[in-house]
Amino acid sequence: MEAVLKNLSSTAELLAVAARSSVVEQWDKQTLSRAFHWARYCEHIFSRFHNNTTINRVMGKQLELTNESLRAVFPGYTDICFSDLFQCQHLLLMGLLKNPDLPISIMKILFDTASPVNNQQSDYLDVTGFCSHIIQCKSACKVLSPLTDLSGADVEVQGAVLMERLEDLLSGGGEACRTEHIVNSFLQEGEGASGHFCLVIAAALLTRSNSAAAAAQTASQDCLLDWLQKEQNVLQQMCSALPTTLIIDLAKRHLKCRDAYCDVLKKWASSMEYSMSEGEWVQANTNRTLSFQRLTERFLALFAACPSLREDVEKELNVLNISDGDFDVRGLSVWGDLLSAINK
Amino acid sequence: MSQLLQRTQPLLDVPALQFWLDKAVAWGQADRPDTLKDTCLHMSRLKDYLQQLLTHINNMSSTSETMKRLPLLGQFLGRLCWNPCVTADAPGRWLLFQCLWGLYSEHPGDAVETKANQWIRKVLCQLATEEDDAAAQALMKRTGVPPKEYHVKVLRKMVAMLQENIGKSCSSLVDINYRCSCDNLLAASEACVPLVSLPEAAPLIRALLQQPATCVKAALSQDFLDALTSAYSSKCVLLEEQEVVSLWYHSLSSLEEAVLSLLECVLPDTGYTPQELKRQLAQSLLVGTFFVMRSQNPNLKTIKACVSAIDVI
Repeated sequence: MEAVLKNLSSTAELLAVAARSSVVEQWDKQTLSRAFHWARYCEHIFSRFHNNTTINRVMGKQLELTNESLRAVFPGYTDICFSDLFQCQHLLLMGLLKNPDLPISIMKILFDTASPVNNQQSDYLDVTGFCSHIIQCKSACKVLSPLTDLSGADVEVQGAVLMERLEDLLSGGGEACRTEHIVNSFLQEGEGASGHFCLVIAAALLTRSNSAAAAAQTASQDCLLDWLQKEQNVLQQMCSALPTTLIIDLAKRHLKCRDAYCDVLKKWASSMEYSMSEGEWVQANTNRTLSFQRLTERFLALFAACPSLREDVEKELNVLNISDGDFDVRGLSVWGDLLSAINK
Repeated sequence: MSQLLQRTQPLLDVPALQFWLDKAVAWGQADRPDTLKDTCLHMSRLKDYLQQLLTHINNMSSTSETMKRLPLLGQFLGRLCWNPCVTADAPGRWLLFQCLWGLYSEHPGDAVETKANQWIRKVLCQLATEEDDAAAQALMKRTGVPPKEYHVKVLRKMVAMLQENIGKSCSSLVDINYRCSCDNLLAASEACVPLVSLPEAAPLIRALLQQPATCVKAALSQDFLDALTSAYSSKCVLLEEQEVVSLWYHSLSSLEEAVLSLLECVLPDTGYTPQELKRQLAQSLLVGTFFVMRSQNPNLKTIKACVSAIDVI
């Protein structure tokens, strides 16, 4: 551990030097490879220990000490913390490229279109073309993205990554509250449950992995579903923002989703009132995004996908209709009208 | 316009640069699929032009002088840097970056050169490190996935998704009015023009080549086939035997090139001994495939072309 902490400090110092010092003028290919080697090492340390609160704390303290001494040396120095280390190579790269003293020969190595050559002699991985490869991947994604459909590969990848992280946390003997913390942190990004975020959650819930990892995936998806139950507004947002086909896929895949969606539909029905002028049930609140017709269609789509639900829901609607007086006249009970619409 | 492009003296070719600059501006306009398509269609001519520019830049004694003669050069190169078709394509990217290095001055002599140096560093830094997707950035931070890994993941996912789509073959031999998904093939192959030598795109390229031609609409873009042939012959991409044969099936010019290169090695002046020649022929995929093809379908036009070529040998 002593050695690891020392290496951590040294790499933090390396990052500062790479970004702010004119010493980089002396750097050659070897120095560059070595620098990236240490950055990779820190990324590895992060992935190994980020779940472990105790070690997290120890490393954090070490970095605080290093930050203090670096602040004294470099004016305007920005502190680095343990959670930044997941992208240590990226931080190193940014620092180097922004450093006006970086020799152009080093830049040429990074942007070379040739592939790195790794021979046995060198201790460190060749970083030739490091930047070229990044640019190539980003551009290739942009070129291919018009061909993919609406939700796109980035949503699927984000969903998969979210799942991986949750599985990681849960398998590490982790604290269930930390999983909530991860998902909650998405909400804190400002606008609450954005449409994009809803798509990512849906993608996460729909990921399928091979049989080996199935148990871990089920656990994380359950975790996510429990979180969703507690966050009613996110749930509502998902039900209104997502394409119906996607919601149906979710309902087919997870019982909890099916029941949650059904509850949301019933909630929407209960918030409707009969408008005499329009001769139709409308949403009571100001933004009338859902018509009675659409609501009926949604119920029917749900029943088509999950036939076992139909009988129970009809029974429930009947009970509600009876409590409303069980009249045969249209416009008196949303439940009665819904029942007749479904059975038309 | 084509006259201007064929001129071998690029020195004061301001009109040609204007033409390409206008193109670059148009390509940068909206993210419509057809702007990307248009770029892909122009890729090989654009690369020829960039090669000319590079020669010109290297012949000039200083960046100041280059900029005086071609004041629009900076703007042009700058726009190309943000064109994903150009930056995804390996030779295109190489030419573009070489032009930038050519404009970099080790010892800047005036304000123009100092500014050029700063601009070059800035553009390259932005290209390599800037993240324009806030949602992705947030996710990377929350889940601890570094940017490079994330982008490679997304790319692999896209390739897998597209590969799946292409796998759905159609059987519209019966009814030409039947709407099949084979239109996707042409669009996908066009998009792959800059990606032929990208290792992560290999599964998609393979899927495109091996799509059985059961439908009249299942055509691959000729630009794609040409780009692939050229990358293969310059050894920028490794193809499996099966893929090479599929390439020959799809593209007559690719097959011709293979035949010609085989012929070239059997010409009297190459200095091969009869032993070496025999070995070359034995190893030749073309010859091997010819015998297989002849036994399966003797009437194919391409076979007839092969027959005459091989008979000569």
